[in-house]
Amino acid sequence: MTGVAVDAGLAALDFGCVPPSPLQPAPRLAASLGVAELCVKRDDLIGFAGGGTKCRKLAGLLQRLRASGADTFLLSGGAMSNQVRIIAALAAVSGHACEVFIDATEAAPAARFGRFFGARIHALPDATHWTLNAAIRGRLRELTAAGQRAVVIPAASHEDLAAYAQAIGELVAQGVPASPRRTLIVTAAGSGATSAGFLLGLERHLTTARLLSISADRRSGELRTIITRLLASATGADPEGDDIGRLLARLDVDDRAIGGGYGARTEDADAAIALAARSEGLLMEPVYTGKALAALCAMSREGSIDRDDRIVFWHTGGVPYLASALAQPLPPD
Amino acid sequence: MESIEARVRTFVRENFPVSSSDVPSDQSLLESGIIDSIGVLTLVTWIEQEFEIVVADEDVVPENLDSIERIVRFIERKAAAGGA
Repeated sequence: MTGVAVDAGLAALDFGCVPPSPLQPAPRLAASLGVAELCVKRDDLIGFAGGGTKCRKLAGLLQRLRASGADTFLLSGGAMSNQVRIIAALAAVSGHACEVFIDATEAAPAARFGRFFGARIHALPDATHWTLNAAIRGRLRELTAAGQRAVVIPAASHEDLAAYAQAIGELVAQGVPASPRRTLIVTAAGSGATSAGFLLGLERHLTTARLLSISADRRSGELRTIITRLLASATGADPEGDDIGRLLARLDVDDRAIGGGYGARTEDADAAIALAARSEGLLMEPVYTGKALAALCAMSREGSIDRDDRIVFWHTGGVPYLASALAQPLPPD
Repeated sequence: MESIEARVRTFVRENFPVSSSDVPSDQSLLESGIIDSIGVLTLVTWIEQEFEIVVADEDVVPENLDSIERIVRFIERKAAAGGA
C-alpha cells in the first residue's frame, strides 16, 4: 500500500455534507409511554456502513487522518461496537489497513463486521482495559518498526464532541424550539462522548432543553465523571467551575438498564425493542438503544419524567446488530 | 526539580481533567473514569518520554499504573533499576 494510494483514498471521501437525519414523530410509542409528545431522531438512517450517530464524527476524523499521513488504523471496541464497524468500513473505502482489538471472541458481531470490511481482528475475549492496551501498544511498535505509520483512533476526541454538538444545531433547525413544551433529549451512553457533545450543543443552541443519558454499561457516577472529563478536556474549563457546572446542570444520568453490563441482554431491553418495532416500525438493538428505551419506559411508568415534556429519543444506530440479536427470540408479547 | 508525584499529578490533571482538587493517591484511575482505555497508552508513552524509562508490555497492569501512588512507585522502581 503506497502513501499516494491511501492519500487519494481519503481525499475522495467526503462526510462534510451528510444530510440531516429525520426527526420522526412517534405518536404510538408516545401513547404507550403515556407521554404527550415523542419524536425519534433517526441517526440510524445516516447513510454509511449501517449508520448511527458515530458517523457524525467521520468528517473531522478524516481531516485528522489526512493530516497524520497514517496508513494503518488501530482501534479497540466491544462486542457490538458501532465505532468498530464504521471505522473498519472507512478504512475499506479509503484503502487503509485497519486492525481491531476486541475484548470478545471472533464470533462477536463487531468482529464479524470488522472482518467483513477487511479489517484484521485481534480477538482477546479475556482482555481487560490493561491487556487490550498492552496489545495495541505492542502492535503499534511492530508496525512502526516495519516502517508503517499507524494511528490509534480513540473512542472520543474533541473534534468528535464538536460534531455531536452540531447535531443539536441540526435538531434546532428542524423546529424543536417551536414546541411550547420543554424538550427532553434521551440518548444511550457508552463512551460518554455523545452525551458530552450534546451538552455542548445544548449550551450553544438549546439552553432550555435537558439531556437524559441512559448508561449501557457503567454506573451513573462513573459515567458522569467521564462526561465531566470530556467536557473539561474539550473546553479547557475547570471541571469544578461554573462553566462546566452549567453544562452538567442540564444532565441526568440513569444506569437502571445496564443489567449484567455491556452487551448483556435484558428482558426489559428486549421488550422495549419489540415495543419500538410494533408501535412505530423502528429497529433497535439490545446494547444501546434497546436499553435506553427500556429505561425511558420504566421512568415513564414510575412517573419520574415529566409527561408534558417533548421527548426526543435519539436513535444512535446499531441496527445492523439487531440481526444477531434476533438469532435468539425476542419476547412473543 | 519537582517530585515524581507532582509531575504525575500535573500530567493527569492536564490530560484527564475531572477535578481541580487533588485525586486521592490510592484512587483507581480507570475504574473511576479518570483515565479511559486509550488514555492508558497516553500515560505509558508520557512515562517513557518524561522519565526516560522503558515500559514493557507486561508492565502495563493495574498493579503498576492504576493510581497516582502506584505510578510513582513504578517509576521509582524502574529508575532505580536503570531505566529498563
